[in-house]
Amino acid sequence: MSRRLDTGGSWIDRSRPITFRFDEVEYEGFEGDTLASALLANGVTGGFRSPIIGRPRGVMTAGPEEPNAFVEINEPWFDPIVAATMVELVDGLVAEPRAGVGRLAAPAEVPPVDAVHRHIHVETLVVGGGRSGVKAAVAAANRGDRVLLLDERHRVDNAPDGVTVLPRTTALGVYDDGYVVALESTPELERLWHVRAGRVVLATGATERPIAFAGNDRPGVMLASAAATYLERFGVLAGERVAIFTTNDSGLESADSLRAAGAEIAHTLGVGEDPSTAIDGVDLLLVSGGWNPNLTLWRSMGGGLRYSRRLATFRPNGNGPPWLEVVGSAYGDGLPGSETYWLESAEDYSEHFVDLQRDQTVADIAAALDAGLVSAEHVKRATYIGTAIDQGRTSGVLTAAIVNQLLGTDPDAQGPTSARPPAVPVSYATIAGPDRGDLLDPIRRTRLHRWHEEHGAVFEDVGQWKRPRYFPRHGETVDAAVARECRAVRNAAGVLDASTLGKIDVAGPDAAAFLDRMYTNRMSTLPVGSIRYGFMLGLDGMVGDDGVALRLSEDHFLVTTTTGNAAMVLDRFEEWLQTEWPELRVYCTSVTEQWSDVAVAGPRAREVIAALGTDIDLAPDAFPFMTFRDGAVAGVSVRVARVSFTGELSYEILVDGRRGLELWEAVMSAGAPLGIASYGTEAMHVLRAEKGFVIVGQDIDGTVMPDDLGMGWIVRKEDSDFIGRRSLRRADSLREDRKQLVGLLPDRLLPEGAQLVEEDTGRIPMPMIGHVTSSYASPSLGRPIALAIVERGRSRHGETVYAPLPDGTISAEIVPPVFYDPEGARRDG
Amino acid sequence: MTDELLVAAELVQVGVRADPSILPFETAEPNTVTTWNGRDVLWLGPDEWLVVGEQGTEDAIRRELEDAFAGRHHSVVDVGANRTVFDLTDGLDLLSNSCGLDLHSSRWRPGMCAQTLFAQAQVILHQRDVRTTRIFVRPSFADHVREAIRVTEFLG
Repeated sequence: MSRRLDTGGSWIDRSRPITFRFDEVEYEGFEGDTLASALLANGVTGGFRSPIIGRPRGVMTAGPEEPNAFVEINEPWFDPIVAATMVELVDGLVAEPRAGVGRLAAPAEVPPVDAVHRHIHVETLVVGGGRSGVKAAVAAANRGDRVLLLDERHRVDNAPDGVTVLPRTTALGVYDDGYVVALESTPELERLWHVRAGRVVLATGATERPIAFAGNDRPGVMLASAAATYLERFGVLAGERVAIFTTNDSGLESADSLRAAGAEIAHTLGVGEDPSTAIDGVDLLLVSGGWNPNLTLWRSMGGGLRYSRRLATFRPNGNGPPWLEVVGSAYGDGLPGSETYWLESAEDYSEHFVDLQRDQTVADIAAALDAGLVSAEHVKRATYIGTAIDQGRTSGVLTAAIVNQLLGTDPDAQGPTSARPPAVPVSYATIAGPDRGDLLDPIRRTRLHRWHEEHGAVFEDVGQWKRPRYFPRHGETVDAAVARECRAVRNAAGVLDASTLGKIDVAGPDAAAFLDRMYTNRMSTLPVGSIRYGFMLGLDGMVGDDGVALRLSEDHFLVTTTTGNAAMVLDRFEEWLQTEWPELRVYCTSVTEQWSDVAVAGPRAREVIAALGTDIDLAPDAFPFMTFRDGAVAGVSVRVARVSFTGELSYEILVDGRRGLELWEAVMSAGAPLGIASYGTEAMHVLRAEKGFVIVGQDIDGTVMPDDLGMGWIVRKEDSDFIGRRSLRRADSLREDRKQLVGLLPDRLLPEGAQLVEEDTGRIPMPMIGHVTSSYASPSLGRPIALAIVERGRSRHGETVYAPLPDGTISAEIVPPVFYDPEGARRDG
Repeated sequence: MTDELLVAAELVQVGVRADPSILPFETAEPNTVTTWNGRDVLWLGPDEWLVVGEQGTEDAIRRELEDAFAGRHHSVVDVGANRTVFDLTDGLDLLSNSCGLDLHSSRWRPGMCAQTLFAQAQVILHQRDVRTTRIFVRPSFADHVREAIRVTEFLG
């Protein structure tokens, strides 16, 4: 039965019929229809179910406040759940009713909709394209503002010139200082707008309020204004024999418009009359309980409300951020006065629905109050009213009013609960936008990355960096490759791409004094040309980062940080310089990527550098450990530092990044006759663990102090301040039972993270005394080794600890943490 | 397409930190670029500038700066390898998909520069003329930025 009139419908184009399917039945509509208007035009008054108790439901509204008519869209795009009132009808649309709960499509079912982001700056943003919104936009444009106007419907009437108009766009949230995130949703594209506006005008309109009476959720019950909208915009007469139940004149006007279009108004009911008896004799019951300004966005920014007796609802009181304004019916202007009436009295409130999408009734509110709750916010949490997809657009004010009424308090005692962003559901894919796949988080590659790729490197993620983990040859396993790379470094030479280490240029007359405050040891006593290893502590005294400082001149240092903490350390330097010590004359510059760092290590490292050709005197006496030299290697200007993270003779060659690859390739070819191998981070980890060198972020986890590592020597004793110093003297820092770094010789390879106990009682729980922080098969020792943090560990050397694991207990002897070359004899080659 | 939009530039870059009162070049408004003996000087902060010159001018730039600052607290750092440089043609609309700056032609004009984020990567933008935006990015992020521009251009 068609309910489409022969004429009328300002939004539809009758020359463009459209075929669509709903619930497996084919229907026709017109271009300009919404799915809801087309369903009503085809006489579909029900067609939906309530989510929890399965009651029949029909379209109740004509807008985003719809609590009943939810659908899944399957063609030509996919949407897991959306209100039929907000779906623009397109040819070939296929929709299924959904009872308030969506489902995720299998990826193969539907091609994903492209999701993009867009930033825009305007002087004035207007949310809502009704009369007041358009008026505000025109006024702003006439002032010379850049103006953006959003409307969630697919059409904005009387769109003004000189204003950027975005239909199908919902403001998801308003944030500090005029930042608004909005979702533009079309069949082809989801676009998330990041709007920065000098001024935000909320012209969000008002929504007609339902009334709580028995059976107010049945199909055929509709907000009066919605029926008028379907008539005016879509030429649809939603019912022929109609009753109207209203507290205000606008309800009567809506009924009049239907009467003028040919409907019979069978009953006109007002406050105190029982509409439930009228339902059965009519095919449409119009309801108007007054109008609520739409204030979700206003309230999300802390905008205040006041109760209006005339409107029997809440409107803005004007107290909000200075850049945020509410106009038109959202402010309460022009709304019809209403009698104060929300609830039809009854003995039994179990069919007086309040939140249709949560199937919650006045009886549920009463039960929550009977349980002792007195706040609308608590009632919301007890009943879930207002937490469904529509976020209580029709139920929020009604619930507060009924809470006030049942508690016997004044109507202004409690207002509606607050809704939070996003105002409508938004998919994670849209929030991610283009930041997905390889773009999810930037991938950082060193200047040598392509060489590593060409030489078969297997990469690992270190922060955002891709670092070569190992370089397998001819089908080598990871274990075989790592063992081979370790042997090359111990017996001949290896080369590591250490370019990811953070590097900061620290310059100025107070540079040395500044670094003294940042590091636990003194940098001011470091001679020019020398290098010192240092710890940086947090304010809590825990080791935060480590690195070396090279003194380039009296007032000039180059300091290194760990790969992962490079940005954090520079931020910390700047924070202390700018906020605490502005009197220090120091400038810091990040030069991490200015330099490629080619680290050559091994007993034949000196021969490799010599073979490259250099003007630097490599003799151990002329170029001792922990010094650096500027010069040329292989004809390239470089800075060479004698530091070692492997225990072997090492030269770290810092070279202008643009020439990094050239130098690396020269090292590989000059080193080839000497048995050089490129090695990755895994071999680096094994080699340093054999030497007991700790890694910040692995052996050091934010609970470890220098003395816990047996490195109390790195903390200066004289009375001058450095960050974290005071915390080292707290009682807890001086406890004798702190966990300390030890080495372990286990009977088989321990998993990292394994918990250690003194005695394997076989009964859970067992008191834990520490855990394994690093564990490797050591090619140099030919056995498994591990580093661990153990209570009073230094006094336990020689004792046995146990790691009870699901597949059996591993026992391990506690030893000092330096497994290989404890005398340091190999350092100079 | 991306390759036509983006053209790599090999340039000298020198970072300068000093009190504005002792600079050898004209100090400009925040976020603008001035020229100094044919080089671009980008304002990066109240006491921070980036001098950008043609290839081969590095020694001259450093010498002139060091001469001007002699004896006074300053920092002059070669950062020529610390950032890769691309020139992007007609790209402001594209950049606005992943950059929060106001790049509208009425506000973002030739001669302006800014440190910002594009596609989560730190960049310096320098508007050279109406059509050309120079992008300075850390070399490690360069592939990421190129790919982000390619994807953005594809999605539109």
